[in-house]
Amino acid sequence: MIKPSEDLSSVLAEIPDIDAEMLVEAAYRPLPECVRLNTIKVDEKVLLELLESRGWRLKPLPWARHAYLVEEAPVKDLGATPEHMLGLIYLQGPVSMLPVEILSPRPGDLVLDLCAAPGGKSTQIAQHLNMHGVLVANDVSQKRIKALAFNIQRWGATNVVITLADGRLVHKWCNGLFDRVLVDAPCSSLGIASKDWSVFSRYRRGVTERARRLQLGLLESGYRCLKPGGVLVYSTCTIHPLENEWVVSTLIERHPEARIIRDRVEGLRSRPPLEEFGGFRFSPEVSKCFKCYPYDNMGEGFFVAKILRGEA
Amino acid sequence: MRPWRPADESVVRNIRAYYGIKHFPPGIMLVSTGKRLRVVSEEAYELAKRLKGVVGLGVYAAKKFGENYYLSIEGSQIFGDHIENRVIEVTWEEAEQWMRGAPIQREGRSLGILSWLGWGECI
Repeated sequence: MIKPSEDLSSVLAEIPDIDAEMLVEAAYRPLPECVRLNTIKVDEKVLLELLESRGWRLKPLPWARHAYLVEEAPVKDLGATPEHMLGLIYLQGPVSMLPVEILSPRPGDLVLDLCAAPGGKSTQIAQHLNMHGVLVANDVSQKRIKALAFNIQRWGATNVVITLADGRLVHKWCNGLFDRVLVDAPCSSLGIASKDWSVFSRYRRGVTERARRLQLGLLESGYRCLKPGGVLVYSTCTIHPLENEWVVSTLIERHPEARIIRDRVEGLRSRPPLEEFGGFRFSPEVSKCFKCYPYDNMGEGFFVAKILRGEA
Repeated sequence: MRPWRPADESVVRNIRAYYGIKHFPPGIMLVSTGKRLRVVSEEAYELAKRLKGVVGLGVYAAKKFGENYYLSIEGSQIFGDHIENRVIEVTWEEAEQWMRGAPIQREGRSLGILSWLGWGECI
């Protein structure tokens, strides 16, 4: 039984565009199973034929390249299939593939994934680079970095450097270095409660208070790592405006040269970001961000901002 | 950065001769980390020199046993098309069997690169 904490109930009552009942209902539904095919290792068409011959039935996801909804699979536990163990596929939530699609790294780019573990989005970036350019996959946690290293290894990407550092400090040695930066920030995870119901019952206001300061520090550092003209994507899997709209708006206020780029996303329902919340009025630029709640698409709730670093 | 250095020329020669690799895939190099070898793109190796806190580089590709280097799963996949010696072709069913821990049956005992699976032994 999912029971939001008192703090969460009061926060949900404050967020004007959320339907709390639908949010709880969505958490009962397991996320659709999706896979991304490893085009670094095998041609997509060849791999699709192999999977189909082994009893997989897949439907393309319109918003992510090489990604498919699993309609049928030969076994229940997809993580135990030889396809997964050989690194031919990566299991990933459908909406969580969106930030990298919006980041859209190009072959030859230098890319930084500032909060990379456990590595789903890093493998996706490596795939877009197609072995040209370099991905620096960073994380602050020694424990989580093991999972990151394992996934990079399984993916077979030779153009990846893994670093262990506090993301808020990385700009000190990487200032102005990267063409693309992903800041998929740690958050209260309220958009992925279907993976772990306890995020609803454990939630306290202090979680968001701590998270938004950390998120702003990470975003600021990531932004400084960009070359002028470079693109950063900030994303979270939470629904809380202070971890989303507020963080992006604060960065825009600090860096007037920064611009948000609006991206068309095919096949996903989204909603406009809030203009104000909790006594804060957000920059009009924030209206260009992508935002969806879990019940909008039967997937994860996500917030994604694509930020262009202008000339200061 | 940890003491990773480009593999000695003798190591590269050894691997090429042992597996019959005429050319390495372009743009990559072998990096030595003790008994292990990693495959890394030249560009990534150069960039890593100017970063702090580097804990991983490229892909673990081979490990030294005695005088030879045995390829990992990813090593066999990266060099796959370039390997001419010691390749043992396996079917998908055999690969599944291998990953479950069961031996692959062949006439006579043989050691070699199981295609896509890395170094292994058939009995």
